[in-house]
Parts: sequence; structure tokens; C-alpha cells
Amino acid sequence: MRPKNLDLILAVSIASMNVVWAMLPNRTPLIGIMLALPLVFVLPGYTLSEALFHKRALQTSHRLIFSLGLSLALCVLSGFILNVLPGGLQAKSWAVLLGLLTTVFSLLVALLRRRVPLYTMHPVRFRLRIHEGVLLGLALIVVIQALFYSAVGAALQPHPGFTQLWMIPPTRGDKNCAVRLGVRSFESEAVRYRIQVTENQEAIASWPSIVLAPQQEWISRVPIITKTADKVYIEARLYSSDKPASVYQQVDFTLSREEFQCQAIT
Amino acid sequence: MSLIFGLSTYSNKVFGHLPKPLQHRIIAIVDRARDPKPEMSVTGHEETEQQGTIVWGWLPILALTNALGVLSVAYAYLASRYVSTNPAIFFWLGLLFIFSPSTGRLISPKASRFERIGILCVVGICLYIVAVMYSPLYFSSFDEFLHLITADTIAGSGHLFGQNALLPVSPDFPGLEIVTNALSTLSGLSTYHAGIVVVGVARLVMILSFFLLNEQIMKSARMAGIATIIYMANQHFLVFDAQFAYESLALPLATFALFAVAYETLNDYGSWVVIAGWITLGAVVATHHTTDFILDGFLVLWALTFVSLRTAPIRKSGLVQTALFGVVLSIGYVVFIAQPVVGYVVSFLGNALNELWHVLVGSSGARQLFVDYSGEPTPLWERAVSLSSIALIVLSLPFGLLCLWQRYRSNALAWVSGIVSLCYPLTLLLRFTNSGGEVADRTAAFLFIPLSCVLAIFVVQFWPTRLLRWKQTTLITCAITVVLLSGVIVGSGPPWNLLPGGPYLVAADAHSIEPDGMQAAIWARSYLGPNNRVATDRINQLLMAAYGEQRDITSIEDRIEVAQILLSSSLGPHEIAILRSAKIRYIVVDMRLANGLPRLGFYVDPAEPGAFHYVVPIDQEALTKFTTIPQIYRVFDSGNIIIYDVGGLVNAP
Repeated sequence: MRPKNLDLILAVSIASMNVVWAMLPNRTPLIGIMLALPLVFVLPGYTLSEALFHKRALQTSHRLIFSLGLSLALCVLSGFILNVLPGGLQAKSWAVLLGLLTTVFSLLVALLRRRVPLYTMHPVRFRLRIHEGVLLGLALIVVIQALFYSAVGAALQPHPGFTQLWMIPPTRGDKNCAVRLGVRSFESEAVRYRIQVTENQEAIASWPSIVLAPQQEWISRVPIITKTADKVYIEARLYSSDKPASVYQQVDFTLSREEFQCQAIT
Repeated sequence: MSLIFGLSTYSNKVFGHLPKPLQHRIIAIVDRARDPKPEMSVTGHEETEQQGTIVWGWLPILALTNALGVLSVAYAYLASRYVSTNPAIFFWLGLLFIFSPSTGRLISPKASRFERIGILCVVGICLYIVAVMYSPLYFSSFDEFLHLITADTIAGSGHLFGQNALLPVSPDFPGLEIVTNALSTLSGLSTYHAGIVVVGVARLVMILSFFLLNEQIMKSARMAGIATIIYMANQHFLVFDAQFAYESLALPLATFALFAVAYETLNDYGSWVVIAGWITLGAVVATHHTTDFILDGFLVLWALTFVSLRTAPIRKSGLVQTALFGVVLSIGYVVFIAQPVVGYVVSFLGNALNELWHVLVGSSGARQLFVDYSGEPTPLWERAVSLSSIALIVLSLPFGLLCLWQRYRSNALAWVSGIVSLCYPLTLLLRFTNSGGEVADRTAAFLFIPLSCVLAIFVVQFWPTRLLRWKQTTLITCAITVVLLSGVIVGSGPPWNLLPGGPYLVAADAHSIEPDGMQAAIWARSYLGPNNRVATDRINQLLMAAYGEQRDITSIEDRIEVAQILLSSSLGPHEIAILRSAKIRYIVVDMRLANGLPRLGFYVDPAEPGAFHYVVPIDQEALTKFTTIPQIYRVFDSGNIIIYDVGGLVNAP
């Protein structure tokens, strides 16, 4: 390729790097982002627009919009092609297809540029003075600061604390015939809990003091004792230390004989 | 006189009978409207630009002003999350910082073309950042959740056309999710972050396409800049078209398609260029139904006008072929891939028109404007701004059309803009109905495309640059800012929705989504497994589907009204029959529903009995009725969220 095809060489190189990158087992997100952005949003559209407008010089703004718009459109249509392929929509297939489109359009452009003399373009000069650069830099810093500010604000936004209590009946394949019981705290600080489990109103298990830090979970299994009754009513109550007399959360269910005689059914 | 109006002699006779002062006034208006040179030929900056040197002009200082505006909004959001006092003033101040100085500069004749494009991109991106900062960690609006579900389904299966019970047509129009999937899988970004980037790039495409399209029509960068900034003031630009939803990508693609076709039609670049338009049309078809149908209508109208004006040989233009291609492609896509969309769109429009008919014939009352469904009124100043904006647009429209007629009537695309902009006043009528209000909102994003073009022509013709002083510039800037403020007021919904944070509100979308519901959904996925059939309210439907991977039972997908199960005072044979027919396994009850009236007018579904007419909140007993039935298991309790396993009841003989 001649030097005038430097843009195409760059496009094909980035497309190829994406294919190689997609094949790697462990990928660093930052490099992935830097490679993916041009492949998804610029290269297919840029190379196609270069092919469509090979006879005339496009203004920078027109070239930019054709690159972005066509890339988005080609990406949407590519999704339908990948959908009918066995691999479907995944990193490797995306890299190969978008890379293939970029390469094919680049070769076409290179061919067309050989037939038509390269249009003469006045190089655009961006004359940025120091104070203009400082102002633009400041603007960027302020926007990044604002984004950081809002993200941290949202992450640390205060919410009312709560605690989850759950109890799941024994499954039919469960040899121990036990219910699964769990507590997870989403309170703002560590909380001391008390749990009481009853079977047909009789206590079968209790945990007088469970201390859970925020986000911490406690899980246990409680075997069903009754083997003779037709139905068994199981109830779990959760109390928190700040209001020890009142039930904080409660779960319950009534199991029929076939449900709690798990081992027999198995 | 006929030279003045270009109309019939009858009109001229009527004109002759008017009082002399009025005649003079009309002649002055018409003179302004047909002024062939309302703008200076070339500014100093443009001359420099033509020589190949980019002049930044005011762009750097305006970029900083915009950034400070973003910071002010960030402070307003932060304060609303932590402080009880209303920090809305910082929000409005921030918007003014972003919008007004830039608008003033765009009206000025001194800015170069590069500077105008730069200013528009900076304003557009800053307004997008304002929208992103509202919920900077996860999607929080209703529509975003719907598309997140589709995107996650594609990411999970690797294939398109999965199921989405909350918006069944969404998987049939997966354009946005496809691009998000491409970026997400290639870069390793999450769906949320990839979605943010995709919509941001789409926003850039929208601004550039819109500017360049108007520049093609009016052959003036200044007019195109004014048209674009007016477009940004529409009520959907700041919030709705910045969210992760199909219209946010489809509208920019449609605008780009219009630009590509205009570029080919007006510049005669040859038949190959039309391929760009066709590819983009294909992408629009696969991205959003309404945008596609409107784009097809616009292209057909444009082609018909083009043919009737005979401005160029039809065979030489790809416009007619493009319009035909668009229509055939849309019909083919709907027939072979997206059949359910017909019922979806028809029912949506049908409800709005039906309600409007009942209001017009007096069989039902009009929707009360400026009050939400819980009875909270809109502040007085916001009402005043909204009404002023409508008055400004409606009163400017005839003058804009007059200017368009005098200056651009040989341009088919300008003609179409004029015709379509006439629909704007008609859509205002729909605001008096519940469903129609949403239709009017939705159409604004489309109607403002031609409307802003007409209004920009009006501004440029009536305030020619040779007469433009700082007073006139300020006046026009203030008028456009009023339209922006009104757009934000209408677009952001009721006052409680303007800022993030604050306490939990009943059925209030982003203001009802908080950790309690999210964690319940995550628990359901972990301990109950995915794809259980679940009945719950509107908000927990979103969370259970998006975070819990559960299969919500909805009226739109299953034709089953689960609202009855949740809202009835007792669980009788009728409710049990619904549970059984829907094969529901779990019921998720949010006890907070009893704390207040639903802010959006309904708890589960707009079709539920009593929707939009609740005067008292749902009874607490209705929510606790499941605890008394032995076959129902209460398996999860977080205080606010309770999950019942109703498998025993549903499968009972």
C-alpha cells in the first residue's frame, strides 16, 4: 500500500489487534476499551464512507458523521448476521466480523484510490493558544470532578437499613429433611439478632445471639423432627437486639406429610 | 400585492380593505420574511476557517461555562440525596449555565462554523452528562430496565429474539442492544457502562446529523446552529432520549439517514452514495418501530413533494427509491419478524384517541393538567414557563412558515418541514388525556425536527444580522431558554422526579427503586433459581426480571391481569383461578404500597381497575391476605418485601 493509504493501514491494524485481543483468555479492560471503541464506532463507517465518496473530498464534519453513523448502522446489521451463525454474538465473532468489514472496505478503497487520483485536501490546522488550551483542560477537569462527585454521592447515599430472613422448604431429594434458614443484614452497622424456630408451636431450634456485620449472611439447616403428623407448621422468627420483644421478620409455612417425609419419598 | 404574498387576487382584495397602519405592518413583516440576505456573507472567522485554520473563538470559555453548569447540577443531585432542603435552584442554575451562553453565541453572526459545531457538541454532551449523573451507578428509569432485560438476554444466550415479558416487542427491535453487546463483549465493559457509551455516541450522531441536515436545507451554519439548539430544548432531549432505550439510538440513526439522503439529493453525489442512506434505514428498521414508521412517512412525503415540485429529474435522485425501499423494508420486517408490534402500536394510539374522543364529546372529564396522580401540584412558576413556551412556539410558527414560504418554497425538504411542523399544535390536544399525554410527549422528539428548522428560519429572517444588537440577542436567547426550561419541566415529569434521591415513593419508577427491592430480587435468583413465574407490582416486576431473572406475569405478554391478585381485599376463587391459569409460583408483595397513592396512577398496570382514579392508598389487609392461607408459604421477609410461594395452592387438586 502506498503512503496515501496510511489511514487504511491504521484501520486494518486496529481491526486485527481486536481479533487477536478477543482470542486472548485474560484481557485487561482498559486496553479492550481502547481497541473496541474505534472498531465499533468508527472504522467500518470510515472505510465504507471513503469507498462511497472516493471521487470527492469530504469536509471533516461530513467525514466524521458518515464514519460514526455508518459504523452504528453496520454494527446493528452485523448483529443479525452473527445471530444466524452458531457462535452467536460474542467477543470473538464480533471482532472477526467487524474486522472483516473494515478490511474488505479498506481493500476496496485502496483499489478505488489507484483508479482515481487522490483528491487534494487542504490540511486543517488546529491553532490552539495556551489560554484556550488551559480553559479546555479546566473544563475537562471540572466535568470529570462532577461525574466523580455524583457517582460517589450515589454510592454512599443513605438508605434505611433492613434485614432479610428466609426459609426454604426441604426439597424432595433432601435426605436430612431439613429446612434451609438464612439471615442477611443490610443494616448500616453490626446488629445482634436472635432467631427462634418452632414446629407446630413448639421450639425446635434457637440461636440466642447472632451478630452480623453489614452485608454479612448467616445460613443454617433445621431438621424437621415430627414424623407422624399429617401437617407440620414451621415458623421462624427473627428478633433484633434493639427491640428484643417484638418480631422483626417472620417466615412460615405448613408442610404436608409428603413434603416433610423427604427421605421416604426419595 | 400578489408579489408580496404569492397568493390569489382574492387575498389581495382582502388585504386592500385592511386599515393602512395594519397594511404597513403586514408589508414590513413580509419584507422581513423574504429578506434574501438576512445574514452577513462571511465573517472574519469563517474566512480564516476557509483558509484551513481552525479558530476556536469562544468555544474554550463556553466549554468551561458548560462544565461549571454540570458541576452545579452535580451539586444539586448530591444535595438532594443527602439534604432535606430543596436544592433545585442549583439544578436550574446549572442548566442555564450550560444552555444560555452557548445559545447567545450561536445567535451571534461572529462565530465560525467549527465553533458552532463545537459548541453544539459540548452542550449536547453536557446535557447528556446531566442525565447520566441522575443515576450514575445503574439504570433507574422504567424503560431502561426493559432494555436492560433484553440486552442481558442477548448477552446470556448469544442470540437475538429472546423473551421479554415486560415489553414483548423489545427483543424484535434489538438495534440498541446489539451495539451495546458489541461494545460490552469486545471491551469487557458491563452492560450499563457500554449502554452509557453507546447512547452518548448516538447523542453525538444526533447533534452532528441534525446540524448538517439543517445546513443542507438552509445553506447556513448559523441557521443550522440555531435550529439545533432549539431542537435540544424539546422535552425529550434531556431525559427521555438520553436513556438506555431504543429511541435513543433510532432517532439519531433516522436523522443521519435523512442527512445522508439530503446529502445525496441536494448535492448530486451519484447513486452509490444512496447506499449510506439504505444501510442506515435498515438499522433504523431493526432498532425502533415508531421511529421507523415516522421516518418512512417523512421520506414518502418528501419524495411526493420532490416529485410535485419537479426540482430535478426523478431518475437522477435516489430519494424516491429510498422512500420505497424504506416502506418495503419496514413492511417486510413487521410481517416476517416483528408482527406483535402492530397490536402494540395500535393499542397505544387507540387508547389515546379513544380517550381524546370521550373528552371531546364530554363523556369523560379531561385530565387535570399540572397535578400528578397523588395530587401533588406543579409549582406556579413551572406552569407559567410551560405555558409561555407553548405560546412562544405556537405564535412563532405562522411567522416561521411565512418565512419558509417566501425563502425556501423551492426546496422539497423545507416544504415537508413546514407541513409536518403544523402537527405540533394538534398534539397539544392529546395532553388532556391520560394516554394521550404520553403520545404528545413521544411525538415531540420527532416534531421538533421540522419545528426547530421552521423556528430557526423565523429567528434569522426576523432578526437579520445587520440589525442584531445585544438586546435582540438576549431576547432570542431568553425565548429559547424558556422553551428549554419548559422542555425539562415537562420531560422530567412531576416535581418529585426532577432530582434523584429522597425517600421511597409508591409506584414512582426511579424513586421506588432502592436496595431493599434489588436485594430481594438478587436473593430470588440465588435461592429460588431463575425463570420462576412471578406476580408482583410494577416496580418489583422490573427488579425481579432484571436482577432476579424471574419470569413476570404481565397483561401485555400473558393477557392475564395479575393486579387483581395483589389488589383485591381477599384471595377468593376468582383470584385463585387467575393464579392457576397463569401458573404463578411466587407472589412478591411490597408492603410499602399501602403507604401512599401511586405516583404514576397505578400499582401494577395502567389497565388495572381504579388506575388513575385512586383517592385512597391500597388497604394493608389486601397485602397481608396471603398469610392466612395454609397452602401459601411465606419464604422471604425483609420487612418491606415479602415473597410467598404459592406452588402448593396452584398445584392443589
